[in-house]
Amino acid sequence: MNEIFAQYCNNRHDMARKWKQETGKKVYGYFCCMSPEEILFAADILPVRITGTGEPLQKADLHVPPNSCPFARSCLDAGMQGHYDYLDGVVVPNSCDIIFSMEYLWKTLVKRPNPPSMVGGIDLKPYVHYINYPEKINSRGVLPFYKEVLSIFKQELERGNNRLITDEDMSRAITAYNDDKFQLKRLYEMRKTDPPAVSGFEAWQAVYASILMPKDQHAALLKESLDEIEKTGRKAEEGVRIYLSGSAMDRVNADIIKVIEECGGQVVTDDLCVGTRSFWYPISTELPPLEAIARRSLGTACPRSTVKERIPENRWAHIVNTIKGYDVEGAIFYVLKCCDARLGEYPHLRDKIKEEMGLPSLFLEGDYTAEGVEQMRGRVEAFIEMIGG
Amino acid sequence: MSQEKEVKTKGSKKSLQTARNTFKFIVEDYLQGHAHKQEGKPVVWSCALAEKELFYAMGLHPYYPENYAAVCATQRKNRDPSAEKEAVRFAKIAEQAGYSADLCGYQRVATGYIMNDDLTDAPLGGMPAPDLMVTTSSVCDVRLKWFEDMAQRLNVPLFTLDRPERVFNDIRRHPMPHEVKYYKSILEDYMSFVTDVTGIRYDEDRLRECMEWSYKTNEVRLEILDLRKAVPSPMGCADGFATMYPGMYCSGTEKAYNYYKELRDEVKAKVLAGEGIIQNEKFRLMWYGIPLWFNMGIFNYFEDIGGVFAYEPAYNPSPWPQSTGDDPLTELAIRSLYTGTSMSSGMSSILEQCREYHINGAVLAFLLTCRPVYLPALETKRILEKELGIPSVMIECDLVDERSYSEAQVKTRMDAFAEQILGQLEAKKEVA
Repeated sequence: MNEIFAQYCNNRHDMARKWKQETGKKVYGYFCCMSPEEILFAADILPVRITGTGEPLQKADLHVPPNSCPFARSCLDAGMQGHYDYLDGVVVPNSCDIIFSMEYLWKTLVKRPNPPSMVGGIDLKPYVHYINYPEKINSRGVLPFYKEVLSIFKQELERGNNRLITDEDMSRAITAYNDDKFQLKRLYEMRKTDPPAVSGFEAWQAVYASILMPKDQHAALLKESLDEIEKTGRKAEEGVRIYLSGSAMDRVNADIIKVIEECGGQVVTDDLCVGTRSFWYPISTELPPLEAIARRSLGTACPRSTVKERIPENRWAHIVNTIKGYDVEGAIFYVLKCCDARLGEYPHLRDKIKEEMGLPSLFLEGDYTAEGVEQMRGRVEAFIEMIGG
Repeated sequence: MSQEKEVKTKGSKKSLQTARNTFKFIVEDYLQGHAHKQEGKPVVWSCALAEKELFYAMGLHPYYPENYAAVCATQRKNRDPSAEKEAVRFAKIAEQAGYSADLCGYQRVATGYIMNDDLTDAPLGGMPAPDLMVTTSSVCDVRLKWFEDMAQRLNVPLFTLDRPERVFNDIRRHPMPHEVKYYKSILEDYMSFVTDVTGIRYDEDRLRECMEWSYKTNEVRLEILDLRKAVPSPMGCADGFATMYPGMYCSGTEKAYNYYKELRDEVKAKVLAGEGIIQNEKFRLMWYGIPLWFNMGIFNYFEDIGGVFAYEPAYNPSPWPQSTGDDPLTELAIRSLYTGTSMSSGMSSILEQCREYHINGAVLAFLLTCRPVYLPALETKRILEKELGIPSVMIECDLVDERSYSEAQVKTRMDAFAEQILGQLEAKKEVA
């Protein structure tokens, strides 16, 4: 869809290094889409999401057991190998158990660019910033708590980078992020038609690029591409319309989308953290900026979180919001090994999607390798054939 | 996991009378709960690290599906030796319904149990149906999703105690004001939730009373831990794990305090008499992680060659900040936030404990489905070796589902490990 998106997807590290060299600015890595990346952007820092390589591990296997999350292990291995040596800082939210452990593992095992500034046993300029992200994302006291967490993070950034982050900076970031969300939403709207204007893989590529490059540039490029698509009226291939729900998806395992397309399917919408969960809901411009960012982050429909309702269903609203209007014919759950929150919720969601929407589901357990994705082809083909007739 | 192999397992040989009496304590607790339910009083299902005073103060009798899964790991249906263990039977039901075999063993067993339609068709007459459930965000994500899933299946209201997951490995152990304020708000919400569901109102004096029992119990448990540092070891892991139930699951009651007083006195007497678990103690081991509940006999494995499992970090208490006598919810929030569950917190404390308990080697339970246990396992092994020169061995399997257990593999590893430790001790003697 756009050559620059493809470059970011295929050569993310080179692109980030180039950006850093050209701008002279800092780059921070972060895990998970609930991370308050807007504050980094406000500090004139480029936030890039940390992803893996899919290659056999060279270093991390001595430190992280083989049955734990293959995505997180690969991320750490990439860090230990120096693929992320251009990062000036790393943000680790307490998302799942595995990412939480990155606070220790990254800090202990990945070489940092500068020595710590220890005063009284405390590192005043930490390389790894821990975000104590709540688990019950709508409890009565959660907002003041989380605002304080983000305020401490902001102060750490201010100390580490010798600059204040003003409300104006954060409002500027919110505007840039909202512009990008608007374009991404527009992209997803264009997939409601049959056939969709944009294929599932092209859309994934656009979302993936958005978490690797400056949001303002991404929004401008995406707008240009979407305007062009609208003008020419181009369409993607027709196919059985699939809802893809899954674990972290980067350049390694996103090939599952290609496999689905090659088997006669078309991913038209999703429940992915490199997908709808990263952009679906705009950030408020009416609230004080820190609160608006806190609310955006708390609004992430991550499978690991819960809510205050008596029979919690925190994910269902997002699933309904992202399926409605897409004429979905089947759901594919692509869950990485060790993704316990997703594994645990799958039987319930499978049954509920069937009961309330009449949709069949296919469950695929991924191992985060290209070979593993390829091995799923037969099952995907059979599922799509079953729906398509 | 292999499907139908026979697994040879056995219970542990405990050295303390109080430990041997614990199963009776558990059975009585279960029976009290059933009687409580029959009287029309509410039953709650919960989990470790939820503050137990919260239940007793509100007149709830707690049951713990995780502990129940451990009970199921030791029992066969109708005590028929040819039947599979109840934990395996229930895990299979869950797996057939689409729950991954890689999910937490506790979760699979408990899920299979509630899917089995009849809650009484299980060991100890099962757990009474819950009127409400309470889980905590501490330790692992699984307990959030698992309890959500159970709440959905049983249509029972659930409350999550969302405790901020703090990271501290430096001087910042005392929680920050916003952390205390948040957790206190969660505790207040919990009280309102219980009132809404059961009609029982929060009584501050009653909570204070339960907390006093907890403080006293914790102090005695800390005394016991201190006594366990003695050489020879007066109380090993077989006794340690056998005696955790009253502290983990009945904290806040007088009966738990009395239980540990008796245990403390028994351990103290052994220390004063210089009496150990075995006659001729040669080396001391740490058991890292939760035990293999279906095969507790493993803790006696090295005894005939002079090896004792002297210490286990799991389930043990840590010192609490002093009771201030102020508002109990604030006090409870501060106390709870002192518990660190991050890898950063865990690594530094494990080194300290190995020094204090004179540990020569560590057996690491590499529990395939328990993320908080297996995630730090390799780092724990590396750090023990690097910082203290302590060798370790890993035992791979599930915590309650014995289908993943390979007796031959475990014995081979344990035997080689014993030779390594004995060789090291011999070499040290020669140098001396």
